[in-house]
Amino acid sequence: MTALRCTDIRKAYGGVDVLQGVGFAVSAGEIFGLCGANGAGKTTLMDIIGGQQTHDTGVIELDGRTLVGDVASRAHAGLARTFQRPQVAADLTLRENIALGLAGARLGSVGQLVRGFVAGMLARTTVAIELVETAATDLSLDRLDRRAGDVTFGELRLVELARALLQRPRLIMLDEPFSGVGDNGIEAIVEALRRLRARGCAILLIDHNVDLLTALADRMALLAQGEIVVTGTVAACLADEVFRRIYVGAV
Amino acid sequence: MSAARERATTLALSVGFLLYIESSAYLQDLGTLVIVYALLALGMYLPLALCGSLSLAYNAYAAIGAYVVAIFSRSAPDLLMLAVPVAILISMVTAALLGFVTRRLSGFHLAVATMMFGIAVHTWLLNTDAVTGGATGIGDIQTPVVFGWTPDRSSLIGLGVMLVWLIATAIAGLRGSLVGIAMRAQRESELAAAASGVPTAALRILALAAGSAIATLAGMVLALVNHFVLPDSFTIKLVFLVLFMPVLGGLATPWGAVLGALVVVAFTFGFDFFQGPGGLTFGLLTLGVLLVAPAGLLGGLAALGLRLRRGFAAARVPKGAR
Repeated sequence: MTALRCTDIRKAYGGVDVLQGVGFAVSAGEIFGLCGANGAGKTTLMDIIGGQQTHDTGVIELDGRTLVGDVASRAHAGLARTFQRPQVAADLTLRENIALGLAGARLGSVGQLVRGFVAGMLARTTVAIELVETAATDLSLDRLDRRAGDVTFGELRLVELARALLQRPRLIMLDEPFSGVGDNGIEAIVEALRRLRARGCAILLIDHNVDLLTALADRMALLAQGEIVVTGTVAACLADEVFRRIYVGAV
Repeated sequence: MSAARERATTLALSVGFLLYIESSAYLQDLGTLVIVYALLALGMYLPLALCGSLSLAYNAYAAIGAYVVAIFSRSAPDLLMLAVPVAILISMVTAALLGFVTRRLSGFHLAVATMMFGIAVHTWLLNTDAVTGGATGIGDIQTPVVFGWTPDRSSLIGLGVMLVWLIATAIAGLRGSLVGIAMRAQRESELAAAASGVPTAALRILALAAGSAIATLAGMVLALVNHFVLPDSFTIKLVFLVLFMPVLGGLATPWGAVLGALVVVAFTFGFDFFQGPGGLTFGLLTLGVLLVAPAGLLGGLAALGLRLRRGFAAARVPKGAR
């Protein structure tokens, strides 16, 4: 079953074509690796799907429904993501940053917002601590009372991923999730991705680490100058002449 | 401090404060000011400390509370209790509208729009004699009858103190709740909050509306205890005085706003020594506190407590073990 389908996505900045008709699909329970040199348009594509940037033409569908609207409404439609440069609230603890994933999932409508507000004022909400702790432990995170501003870059990536997992997404987009992460963390992320895949979540993965990407992904696509030049199973991509020349050769 | 312990401690302090001001009419006057300022400061604290939204229309919201009570007392004294929900509704709708029109702009625009609104309301109060009584305001405000009981002055002040405790406790609860986490997160990273599904603009508007409701209560307390309202109680100067309070007391907890209100009243009205150059003294005092303890009075106390406890812990370690 197709989870994410992008059709003919085009985007130009001031006359420069950044994406020139990109189309691909990711199935539920599939890890789709997106690779390409710096500036190929990978992050731009992710921003367009997430709603952080607008696109000029093209259609994005999630589970058969066209994905439109602002970032928060796309999150409610089943989309979660992490960022190339981890986005966290530096003054909040790791626990609070992870719990943000629950907050988003439970505060969609104005009614939920007002109810949550009143319940909070009456001190009757119990922030589901066990869910947060489990999500953190699964990703080898500990000492959750630390300020997010005080921990390493790699740990922030894990915090972001834990937060995204709590949203129980249909599609998760990970922008270089392994960079700066220690060995324990990488192992934990790989485990988490396998569990997500088994649960039927679609995973869109950007990374520069070819070994990891090819080991993890079911299918891949190579983006060059705003176009998908090669796509297919990992084996097919690795055997492809163009893929080897542009990607494997370049690294 | 655990939530239960914080509630018990602050409740005990509130009762102690009430017993202290009971002793004289003058102290009750000052106590009323503390209540009014504390409510205003709490109203400002909620959107400012949780969402990072600086609204400067708090004189207007307090005026709405005071004048709606005064107008009900003059025109429909039997329905005086109805003034409470009516005034709160007017303030919340106004605050939500001001938040809504500036939702995509920077915080600077919100501050300017709300300040202009506050100034406009004061001018309107001065010049609309038929409705607001102009510069002389409205007098002879009646005491509301609550289920057959007419509270006297002391009871009203007691209710005011309990209101401050309830609201500060409620905001403290909100801070740690999911909504509170979402509010504080969007203040620091709108990108992260939105990507997690938090409707950031709606959340900010909600906080502004709730803050305005609390400030409206401040105006009502003032009108009901004093039995009169004057437009010059609600100038923009009030906002700048109140703005210092949460910062002075410490932004980490709503009790910082209450402590700030108490300190301001004590220093500007309570001691004869500060009577003349009160404003200047207060400005210098705030500056001094912020230089010594950037987290405010409560933040500074907490840091000191932590350091002392660490000191004791270190002292208990036998010398050979170090």
